[in-house]
Amino acid sequence: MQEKTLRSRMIIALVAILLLLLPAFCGYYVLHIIIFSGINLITVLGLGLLIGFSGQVSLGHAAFYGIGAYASALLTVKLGLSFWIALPLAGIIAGIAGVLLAIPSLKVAALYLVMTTIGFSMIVWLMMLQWSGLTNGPNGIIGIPFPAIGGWVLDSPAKYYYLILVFALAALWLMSRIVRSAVGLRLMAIFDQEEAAQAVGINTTYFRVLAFVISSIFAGVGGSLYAHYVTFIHPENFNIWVSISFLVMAVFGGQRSIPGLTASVLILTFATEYFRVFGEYRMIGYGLFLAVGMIYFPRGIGTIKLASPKSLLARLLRSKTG
Amino acid sequence: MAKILEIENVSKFFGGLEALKDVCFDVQENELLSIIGPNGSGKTTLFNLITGVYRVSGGSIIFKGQPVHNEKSNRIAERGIARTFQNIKLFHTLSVMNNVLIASYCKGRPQSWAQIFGVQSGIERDRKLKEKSRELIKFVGLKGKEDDVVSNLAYGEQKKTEIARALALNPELLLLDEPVGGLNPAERQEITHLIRTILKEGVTVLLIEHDMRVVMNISERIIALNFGQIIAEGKPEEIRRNGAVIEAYFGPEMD
Repeated sequence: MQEKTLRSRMIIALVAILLLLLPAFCGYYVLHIIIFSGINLITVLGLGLLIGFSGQVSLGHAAFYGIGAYASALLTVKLGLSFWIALPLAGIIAGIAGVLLAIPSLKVAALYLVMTTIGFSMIVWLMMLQWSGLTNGPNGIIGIPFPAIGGWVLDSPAKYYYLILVFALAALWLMSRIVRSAVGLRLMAIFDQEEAAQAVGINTTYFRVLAFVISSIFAGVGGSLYAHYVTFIHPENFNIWVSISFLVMAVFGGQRSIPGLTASVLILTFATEYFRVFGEYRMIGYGLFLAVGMIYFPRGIGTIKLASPKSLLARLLRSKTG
Repeated sequence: MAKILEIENVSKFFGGLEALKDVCFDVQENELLSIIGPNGSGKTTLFNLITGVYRVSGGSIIFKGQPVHNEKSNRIAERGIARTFQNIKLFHTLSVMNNVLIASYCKGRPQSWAQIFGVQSGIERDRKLKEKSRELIKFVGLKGKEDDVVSNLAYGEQKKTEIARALALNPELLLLDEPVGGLNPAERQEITHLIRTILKEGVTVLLIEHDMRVVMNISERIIALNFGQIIAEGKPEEIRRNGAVIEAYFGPEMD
């Protein structure tokens, strides 16, 4: 028993060192993709809660991501607020939007919820495109400032990586805590057996809205981190394909598996980038990759990842020495 | 003896179908009242009205002096009415412990966000609720199975889990819908014994059951329904000899 905890502690330490020193041995391009993976992870963790734990399928997640991005961009560019204030505000604003979408969604059954969320997503996208007074329309917003800690400006991938690392780890920690908590359990109860959930005193309306709000806050924070990295955003960054892409990452990760979701986001973010070499045939390659993946892991890769990535790594090391 | 539940002229229509018509009866505190009747006579509909699954088409349901008809199910659970389901409605992907624990949150005030952020009071509260849940699981005879996913349990064990879950609400009124349906004689004995113990704790029990031996054995009073109306009411001995009840189950006497 002691040996196991010592071993897992060593694994954790190894992974921690790896993560801390990553920029030193990764090229610019790989670091760039890792940053996007982190941003996607934060965003998709929220979607995973919504789909996997509360059973509400949403094809509108890019809307919350975009609201967070635009909110953060506008607060810093037009109002001159600091990134550190804009980010939480962006999360809150996205959360409020989450309430707005959740309420009409309560009335519709699962399949129609997909359409409601698509509709919402379109409305938000159109607002970005046409409310030029606020959002600058199709021209988007430029000159979004890099975050700064005191005098230290995070203006390169290597520096931004650490910001993303902190937020991604925090998001992973928070979401793990949420799904294991009284909140997470009740969401799963509602998903499993809504009538019985009500019979044991669960206010299903409140919890369904709460799931939307939590998921949209995560997306809003992801959007803000995105905006301050790319420094230029425009409505096309938040279209329906982005929502689909988030949904695919969430589903591919397997229901209710946070390690699966993490792996899924990493794999699919890298796949999307690396398939660029195929030029026009990129989406075909990506689609094939996805199809094969779903054939071998029909319930998402989370289902084979019964162990956490850390113990899987441990097993790998053990077999090499054993 | 106080009346804990009053059913006053309750009717329920589903379109043209009269599921319940002008049903009137009272339930005394801490009694065991059984509702019997052929399939389709309206027993489960009555339970669904009491627990807020359906709205009444007419009449009122008074619990501890307050109207509960047309209230939301979760509010009714908070008021002190718990139930089990005829066809088991457990949270099938979750463990026995989690099924009971989730129900304990109703009266148990779990402090979720304190728990999430690791604040001591939240963790402590969670520990206490798990402890209480463990006791309930032991009470129904499922000690050792806390971590089993309920969909893997035997049918009888699932029924027991539902009872434990209902008890986690600390109810004053417990509605049991066919608790021994599909169980073997030994299991029926266990459930009967459980119900007796629950009564001793001061809970009022409303029972729907088809097994006449169990009904006659533990009921203090019986109400018989047929086609949505009460056809007889009284002590077990009276009901057993009642012509209308016999006819409802077995059809009219043949000459």
